Amino acid sequence: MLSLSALRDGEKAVIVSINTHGRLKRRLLDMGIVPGTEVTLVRRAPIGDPIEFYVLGYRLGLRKKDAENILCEQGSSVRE
Amino acid sequence: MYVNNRNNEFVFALAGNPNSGKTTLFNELTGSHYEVGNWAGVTVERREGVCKYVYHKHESRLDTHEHTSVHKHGEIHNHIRIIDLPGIYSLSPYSAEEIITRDYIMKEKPDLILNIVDATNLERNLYLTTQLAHMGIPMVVALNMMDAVEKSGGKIDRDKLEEMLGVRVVPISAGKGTGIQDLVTESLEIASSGKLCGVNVTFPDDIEKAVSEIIREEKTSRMCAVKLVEGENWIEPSEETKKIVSGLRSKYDDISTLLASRRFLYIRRIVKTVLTGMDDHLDEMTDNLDSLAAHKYLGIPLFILLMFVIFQITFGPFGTMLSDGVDYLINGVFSSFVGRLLEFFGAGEFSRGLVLDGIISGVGGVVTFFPQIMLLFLFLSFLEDSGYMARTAFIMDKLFVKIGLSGKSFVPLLMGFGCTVPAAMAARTLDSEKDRRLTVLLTPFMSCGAKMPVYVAIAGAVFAEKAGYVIFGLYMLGILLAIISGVIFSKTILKGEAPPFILELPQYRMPTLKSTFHHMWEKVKDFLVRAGTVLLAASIIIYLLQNLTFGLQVTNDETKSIIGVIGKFISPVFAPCGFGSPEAAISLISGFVAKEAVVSTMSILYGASDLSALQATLASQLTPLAGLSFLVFVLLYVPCIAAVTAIRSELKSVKLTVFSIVYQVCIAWLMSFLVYNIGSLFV
Repeated sequence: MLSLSALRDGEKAVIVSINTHGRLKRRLLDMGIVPGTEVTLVRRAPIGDPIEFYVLGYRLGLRKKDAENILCEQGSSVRE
Repeated sequence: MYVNNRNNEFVFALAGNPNSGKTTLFNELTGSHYEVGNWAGVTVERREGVCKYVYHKHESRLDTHEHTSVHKHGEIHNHIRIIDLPGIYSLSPYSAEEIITRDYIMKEKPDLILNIVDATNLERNLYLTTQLAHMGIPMVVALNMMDAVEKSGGKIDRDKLEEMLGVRVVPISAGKGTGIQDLVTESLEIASSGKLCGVNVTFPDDIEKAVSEIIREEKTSRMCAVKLVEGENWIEPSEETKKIVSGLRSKYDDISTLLASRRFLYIRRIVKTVLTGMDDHLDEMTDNLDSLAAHKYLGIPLFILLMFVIFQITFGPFGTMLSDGVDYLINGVFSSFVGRLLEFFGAGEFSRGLVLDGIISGVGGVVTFFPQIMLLFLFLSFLEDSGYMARTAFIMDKLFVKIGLSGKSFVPLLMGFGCTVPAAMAARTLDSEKDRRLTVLLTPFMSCGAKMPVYVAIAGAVFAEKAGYVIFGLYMLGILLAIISGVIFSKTILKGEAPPFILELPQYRMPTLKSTFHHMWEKVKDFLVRAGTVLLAASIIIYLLQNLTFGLQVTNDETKSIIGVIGKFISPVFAPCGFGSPEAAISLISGFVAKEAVVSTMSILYGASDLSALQATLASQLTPLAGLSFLVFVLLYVPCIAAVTAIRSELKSVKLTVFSIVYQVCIAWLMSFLVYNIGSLFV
């Protein structure tokens, strides 16, 4: 298991857990960042932060420190 | 089917994700033209319109022809009010948009929720759908951008989608205006039947049992009960409910994550079943553009270049030419026409002066900037509608975090170089109150376009060919002080947790000329309204102050006028800064109406006929250091009355507005003082 921010550009992973709380967590859950969701790291902003992810068919920008608290497993999910 | 409810009056609430085409559908339904933005949170306030469509039953459900004739068989006239709610991703009450939407639905109880869903992004959009469906209000899903799905070879099984969601689904294309008639007709049928949505997502048995018990106990909607289970109290729970909830929460340590996961799991199953022929890939055009826009080395320089070009066109020769044209029309043609007209009707000198020198040159001086403001907004609207604006927030965020802001504050601040009024207004799109207020407080530091004439006149007079460097330095000083103030404010008066930065980067799209112009017009209109109201009043007041004595006698001697006396009275305040003359003080006071007025007032006071005469006088009156000190003061002191009113309405706090004024004046005086006195040591 590693954090979302540790993925390489273009690498795919499946979310395992979201280790934040409060408003940020609620937002992440509502934007589809839930265990089981497949995520691809698309690119990092020029200064390395924030990071752009491809998730549920759209692009999402997250700050590095927030992405660090989301754990994932590399590879694609086997979709039911 | 017969459609009826109280006098055929209906209220439909339009809800959906940002960028789902909600505002476009609203415009299509109501025939009105509102702002359409490709930037989360464009619809911050609630908008209302009357639906121009009426009930019209087609022979076949699949018939999607637009109806043309008005009095056809099967038509019933209904009065439908459409409420455009802000774009949201969910019903969690964490942002102003979400709270507005939730409260509206819960308290106002519309007859129907029209949920617009972007068919090209079902997975994320349907999340809100599964929540809205259980608010206890009949609902219809408008499946937007179906044309885009079909174009890329995709197919959506509508019947299956309806069955799995438990909601009526009508495919539309809001942009092309197709399917809207069917949408209205089906919505009216659902609304008048009062039929609620079926259950879609289900949760583990014990949670379902608790939810049912709470629905019975509180007599509330399923959604509200689910939220109570999650610990979000939309309503005050009864003791019985609290017991049920705490019993459940002891069994699960993270109900919110569990419930969200169940929703997305269910949605994945729906999408897998109903959507065929679409592969889950990044849109290639967006990806290519992004690899340039967010390029490691090229991203930021490219952005700066783009901004440079926009400012060059707006404030460079082209924009200036347009402004000069308007200036000629107002101060040349119009003013002399009105002057002759007044003379013809035998108006006295005082009233002629009031109209010509007060109103026309006062309001006109600002309206002169109209072409430039229009140009600036045309560019910015284009960038916003195309989706590039979200990228600027993305690439600049890291730098802005350091001063307590987020990347999203970048655009409003940038606009501040044009005019503080729209800059403060643009801060509305930010996520949190703290971000909004901090951004608004910093906008006056961005040297606005109206200060440019002052810089040119004075720096040109005292620095001659080195004026360019001085002006550039002033801009930099403004930015530097904004950064320092930002750090101070966010650590003192505007403390609080920074809102999470979660930014959707929408697909790039080519904005239509129509929507870009409408978007621009919405903003420019505010500027014109302000010119016609606040500035008009202020111009009259300043003219009176300039031409009346304290005894309310008409005077031509500026030094005896109210403003002259005040100027003389406060001028010693500026002596330590190197510009203690009454002329300087009076000019600065009139600068409160409009910054350009600093120059025009000086011209009047020194009796200079044109710019070069004024500059000659200034060169003899001010040392270069005093000139620089004066310019620093102009850069930093209170923005004009129009900007202050905009700041006041965006801050929504008189206290903070007063603070802003006092802060700007103090920092202006302090910086001028430092420049003049530290400079004196070296000169």
